[in-house]
Amino acid sequence: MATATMSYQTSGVAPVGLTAQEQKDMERFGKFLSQKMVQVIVQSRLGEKVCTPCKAHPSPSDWFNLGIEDIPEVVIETRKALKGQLLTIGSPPLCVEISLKTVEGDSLILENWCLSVNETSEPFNRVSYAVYSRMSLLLKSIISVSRITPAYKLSGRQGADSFVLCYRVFCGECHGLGASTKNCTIGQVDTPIGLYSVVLSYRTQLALSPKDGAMLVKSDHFDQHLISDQYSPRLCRAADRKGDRGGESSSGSEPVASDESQDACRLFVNSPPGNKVAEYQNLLQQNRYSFDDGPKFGAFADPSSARRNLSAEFVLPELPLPTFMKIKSLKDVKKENEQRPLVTGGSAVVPPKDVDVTENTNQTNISIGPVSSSDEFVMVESLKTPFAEGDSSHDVGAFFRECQSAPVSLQSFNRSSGIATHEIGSQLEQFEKDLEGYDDLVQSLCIDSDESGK
Amino acid sequence: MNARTQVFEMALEGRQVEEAVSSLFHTLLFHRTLGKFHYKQEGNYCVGTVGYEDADCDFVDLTYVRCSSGDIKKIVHKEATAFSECLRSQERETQGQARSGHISLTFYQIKKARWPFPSESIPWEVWNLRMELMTLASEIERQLYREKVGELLAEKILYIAESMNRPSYVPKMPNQPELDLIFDTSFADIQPYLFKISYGTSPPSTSMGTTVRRLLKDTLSI
Repeated sequence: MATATMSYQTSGVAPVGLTAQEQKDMERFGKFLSQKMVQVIVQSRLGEKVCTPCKAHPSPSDWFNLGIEDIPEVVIETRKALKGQLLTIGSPPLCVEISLKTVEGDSLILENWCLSVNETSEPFNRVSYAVYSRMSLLLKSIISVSRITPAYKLSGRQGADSFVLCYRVFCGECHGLGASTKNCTIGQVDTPIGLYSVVLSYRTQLALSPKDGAMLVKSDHFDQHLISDQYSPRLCRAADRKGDRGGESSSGSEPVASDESQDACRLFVNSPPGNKVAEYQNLLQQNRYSFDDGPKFGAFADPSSARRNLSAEFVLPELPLPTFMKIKSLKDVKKENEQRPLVTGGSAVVPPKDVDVTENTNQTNISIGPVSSSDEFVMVESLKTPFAEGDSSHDVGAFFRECQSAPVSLQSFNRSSGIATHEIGSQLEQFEKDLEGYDDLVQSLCIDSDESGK
Repeated sequence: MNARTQVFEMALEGRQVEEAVSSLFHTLLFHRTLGKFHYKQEGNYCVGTVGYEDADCDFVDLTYVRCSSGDIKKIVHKEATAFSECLRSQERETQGQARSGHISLTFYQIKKARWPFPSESIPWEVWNLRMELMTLASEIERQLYREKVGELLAEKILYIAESMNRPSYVPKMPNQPELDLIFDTSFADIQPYLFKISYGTSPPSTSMGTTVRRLLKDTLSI
């Protein structure tokens, strides 16, 4: 049975094909390669310096002869992602996604690490130390390269008041990172059961730009209880330490709730188009002003004194203005529009087109805007001219009424140009007649200037 | 057999030389270091554990990973510092003229020769760093160059990782009697491949005399 403390044969005849034990060993190599890869990547994003000792004599848990410590939560997340299966030829790659999340709720995927298994180009006849040592070499390369990407520098600057780095482990295709991306193949290990490859994709430009495919998420997009730092590698380590200080074995710590990896998926994955529209609609619904709340008062205003100081003639009924108009569902409005246009005040009113309201029978769809029916038209004569005295026949009132609607035609265009045009025309004619005289004057002036110059 | 050779060239400030050399050489040695071998009966052996740690640079915007063995850290630090001092003393002597030098990390194996010929070191992988010193005028330039050199070294580290994982020649695992021909067994906690570090203030010479000498050696060793 293969363990981390391997014993190797230095010589011997190579058997043809794989024995059952070799097959089992090979599968264990692949399994622990996956786990250790995720461990070193997540640990490199903790924002802490890693230091593990060299040991002349290995421990049973030191796989691939490397001092890689295990964070229990990361082990659990990796197992969940693999779902108890091994990576095989043709199976979806194992991906580790590192993303940045700001305190405002914006999120940006920084890099993707993918471990995939493809057809082996040169199937070996034996499971030798060469395969194991090449896997160890691959892990060393991952460890070295993990320090040179921009995400590593960000990990050292993360904090609860600025941003945190989060990770997600899953099997499947990675999300694109946009145009400013660098892709590199860290290494490959050819084994009898497949060709293991590790590919890294990382952003070279960290500006949040929608055209690069960056995902910007509104701060109120998610439920608050889901916005937790449990998937921040930093707090994984902190939680792990608390468990150690309390005397509990870190390996025996209970895993987090089983659905939380799925929650992490919901947090950081672009939603499908359908869900996106629904979420945007919900967001619009939330931000819409609700007239059912009653009249609003300005900042620092005392509602009770505002009512008291108003004279009786300026006090409007306490019903909000929109209640003068019927609040209808959009369906009803559309039906009425199809039958006849709604006309108020000389202009046709149609339902606003910039609000997409979900036709959900469980919801009360409210159309916001001047939607009215001619049957329930409310007389507006009760509205008085502001700053005017007495009745509406006063000058201010008359002016106000004149300005309420645009004039049918501008009177100035109907007036004849008359005297002004006639005078200008005669002047022009006179100037044309005297043109020769003006030319002689100019010439005489030029001659005089020449004589004075001499 | 020809050694696999790779040359890196860079221009940097004098105070950046030691960290640049350390970052690249430690990355290489980390890849070329195994755990300590412990042989058992019937030719079986087990391998120790290689620990690693992060190392921050002060004059370069870079963090690199190195083997956490104290002995190997001392060796690399000693050679890198000596090379840096050598270059900077050359700068002082030439009073600002062009200063350059090279430092090499060579992995080799020992080939025992027939009597009366001595054993021979045969390199199988050579990494050359050619460095040229430059002087920056302002602090702003130094800050910008600090980041630029960091990016440059990051590219080199990525190249090293990709190169190490390509199928290429590496000495095969020896039996216990031949372990010292492939690995440096002088370390207490690790076992790197045999390596040596050499440096000079002029480019590696490829004169006719050196070439002929090498040809004669190879011929006699057959």
